[in-house]
Amino acid sequence: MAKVLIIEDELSLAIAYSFLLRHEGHKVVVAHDGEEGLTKAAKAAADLIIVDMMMPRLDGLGFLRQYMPLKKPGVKILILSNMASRTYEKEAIELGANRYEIKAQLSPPQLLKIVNELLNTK
Amino acid sequence: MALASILVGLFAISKVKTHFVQKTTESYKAQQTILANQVAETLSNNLSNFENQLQIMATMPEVQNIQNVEQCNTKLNELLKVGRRQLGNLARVDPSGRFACSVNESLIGQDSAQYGSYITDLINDPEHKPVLSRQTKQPGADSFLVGLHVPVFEGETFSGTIGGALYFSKFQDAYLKSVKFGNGGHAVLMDDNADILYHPSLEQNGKNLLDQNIIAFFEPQDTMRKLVKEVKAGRSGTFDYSVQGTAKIGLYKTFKVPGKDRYWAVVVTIPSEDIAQAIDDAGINNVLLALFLLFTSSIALLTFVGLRNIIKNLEVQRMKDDFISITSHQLRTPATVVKQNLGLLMEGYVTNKKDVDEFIASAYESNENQLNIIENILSVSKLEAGRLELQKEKVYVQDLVKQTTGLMKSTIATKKHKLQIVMPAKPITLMADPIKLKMAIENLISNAVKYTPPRGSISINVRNSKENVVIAVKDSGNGISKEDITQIFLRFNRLHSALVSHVPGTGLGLYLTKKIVEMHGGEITVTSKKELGSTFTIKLPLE
Repeated sequence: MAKVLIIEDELSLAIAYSFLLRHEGHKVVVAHDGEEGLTKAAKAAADLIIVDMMMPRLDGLGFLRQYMPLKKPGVKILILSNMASRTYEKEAIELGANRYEIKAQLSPPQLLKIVNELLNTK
Repeated sequence: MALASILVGLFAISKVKTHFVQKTTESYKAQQTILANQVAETLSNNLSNFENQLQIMATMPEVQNIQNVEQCNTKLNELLKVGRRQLGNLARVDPSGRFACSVNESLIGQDSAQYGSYITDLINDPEHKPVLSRQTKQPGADSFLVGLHVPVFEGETFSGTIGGALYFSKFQDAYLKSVKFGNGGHAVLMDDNADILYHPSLEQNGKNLLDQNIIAFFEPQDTMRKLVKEVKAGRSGTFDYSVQGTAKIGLYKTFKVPGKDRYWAVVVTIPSEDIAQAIDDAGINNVLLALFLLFTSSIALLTFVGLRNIIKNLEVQRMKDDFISITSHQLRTPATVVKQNLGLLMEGYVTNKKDVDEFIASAYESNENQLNIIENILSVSKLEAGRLELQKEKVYVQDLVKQTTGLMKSTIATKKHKLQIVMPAKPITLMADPIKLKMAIENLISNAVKYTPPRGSISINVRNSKENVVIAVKDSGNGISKEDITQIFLRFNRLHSALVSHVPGTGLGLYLTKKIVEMHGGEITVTSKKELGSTFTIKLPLE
C-alpha cells in the first residue's frame, strides 16, 4: 500500500483515478492545480505523485520546477497528460519526472500497471 | 489631407511589407543554412574519422615495417576488414613514392605519381602533412573515390605513407541525397579544385565547375568563379544567381578537410520561388490585401486599421496551428473521462450502485461536453464560411436555461457548487433559434462551472422588460484580468494563453456565443474582478 498524490484539474478524472487507486488499497490525496499540489506534496509524504500538464494557476512543468528541488529521494513522479508533445515530454523528464504518459491512451488496468511498476522500482 | 494620409499610409505599409519580406527571407535562409551546416559537419566528421583511422594504422609496427611485403599486405587486408565500409584500396608507399605493399597487389612496385601527384606532394612536403587527392573515378565503376594518405614515421624518420580511398557513393546517399532543401532545392558537394564530388544528377559528378560549358550555364557568368574563390579561402555564405532564367539562391558551407589548407563545400541551391512560397505561406497575401484596401479607401483612419489588420492576419496562421493542437487536447480530456469511467465499470472495479450511477452520469456528461466542443467547432467553421443561419421559432427562455443547467448537474454536484437560479415565474418567450441560443447559454454556464473552484457559487439571473430579456451568469471563479477581458470574445484568443499558461480552453466558445447573440440582434457584456469572479450578461430584444 502506498500513498499517491493526484494533481489533476479535471475533477471527473481525479475522481476516477482516486477510485481506481483506492480500490487497489492505496491512500490517495487530490490537488486541483499545481499550487495546491505544492502545498499537498509538502504535507502528504506521498510515494508517487501523478501530475497533469495543463492546469490553471500552476501547470505541470511549473509544479515540477518548484517541487523537484524539495523532493525526497524515492518519490516517483508520473506525468499523465493529453498533450502529446515531445517538447513537453522531454522537458518533464529533464526536470526529473520518471514517466510521461498520454492519459487518453490508458485504460484503468494499464494505469495500474504503470503505477505498480513505478512503486516497485527503487 | 486625405491624399496625404493615404501617402503616409502607403509608405508605412510598404515599409511593413518590405520588413516582413526581408524578415521571412532571412529566416528561410537561416533555416536552410542550419541544414547545410549539419550536412557539412557530418561529412567533415567522416573525413576526420577516415584520417584518424589512417593515423592509427601508421603507428602499427607491421605497417611501419615494409621490408616484409607479405606481412604488410596481410595486415592491410586485415585492417580493411575492420575499417569502415567506405574505406578501400589500402596501400603503403615507401619514401621514394613506390607502392611498397597494397591490398591491390598489382600496384606493388609501381610509382604512386601515376595515380595523381598527391602522394608525391606529401613526400616532398618538409612537414609531411596528410594529403587528399582530387577525386578519381575507378575504371569500370560508377562511383567516385578520393584518396587520402598520411605520413608514417619510424621513430623520427619519415618512412613513406599509408593511405587509401574513400568511396563516395557509400555516404553520399546517406548524407547528401536524403536531405531535402526547400521544395525544389538540392545539395552539391564540391572541393576547392572546383570538382563536383556529388550532384543529385549523377552525370554531373566528376565535372569541374570552372569548365567553360558549366560556367556559361550560370547568370551572372562569374558566379562559379566567385564561389570557387570563396571555397578556396574557406569562407561560407550565400549568393543569388539564375539558371536558364530561373532565379535561385545558393548557400555554401565550406569546411576544412585533411591536407594543408584544403576545403570542401556543401553548396545548396534553392529556387527563389520556394522563398516566395514561404513568404506567401507566412501571410504576404494579407499584406497585399491590406494594400488593396488602402488603395480603395481615402479615409486616414483606414491606414491605422489596415496596419492593425495586417498584424492580426499574420497571426492567424500561427493561431490556426495552435488551435489544432489545443482543440485535440480539449477533445481528449472528456474522452479520457469517458474511457476511465467506462473502464472502471467494465473491469468490475465499481460495484456499489451509487458509485455505478455516478460514474455513468459523469461519463454521460463528459460525452455531452465533447459533443459541445465539436458543435462549437462546426458552428465556427460555418460562421467563417458565412453559412451559419438562424432557424427561428418561439422559444421559452426559462426552459432553455433549465435544460442547460440540467446537462451539467453531475459536475455541479461533484464540484459542490452552490447554484442559484432566479427567474420570473411568468414564461418569457422570444423568436429565436433554440439550438444556437442554447449553445450560447451552455457556453456561458459551462465556463462558469469550469472556472469556479469546488464549493464556489454560480448564479443565473433571468429578467425581462418590455423590450428585452436579460440572462446573466455570475461565477465566483478566478476572474479575468484587465488585459484579457478585451480579448475574450475574439476568435482563438485563448489559444495563446492556453499554450503558454496551460489553462484549458479553445477560445471558440465565447467568440461563437457573441456571434450567436449578435445574430439575434442582442449584445453580450462582461464584468469581472480578479479572484472574485465574472458576470456575463446576454441582452436579447423581444420582438
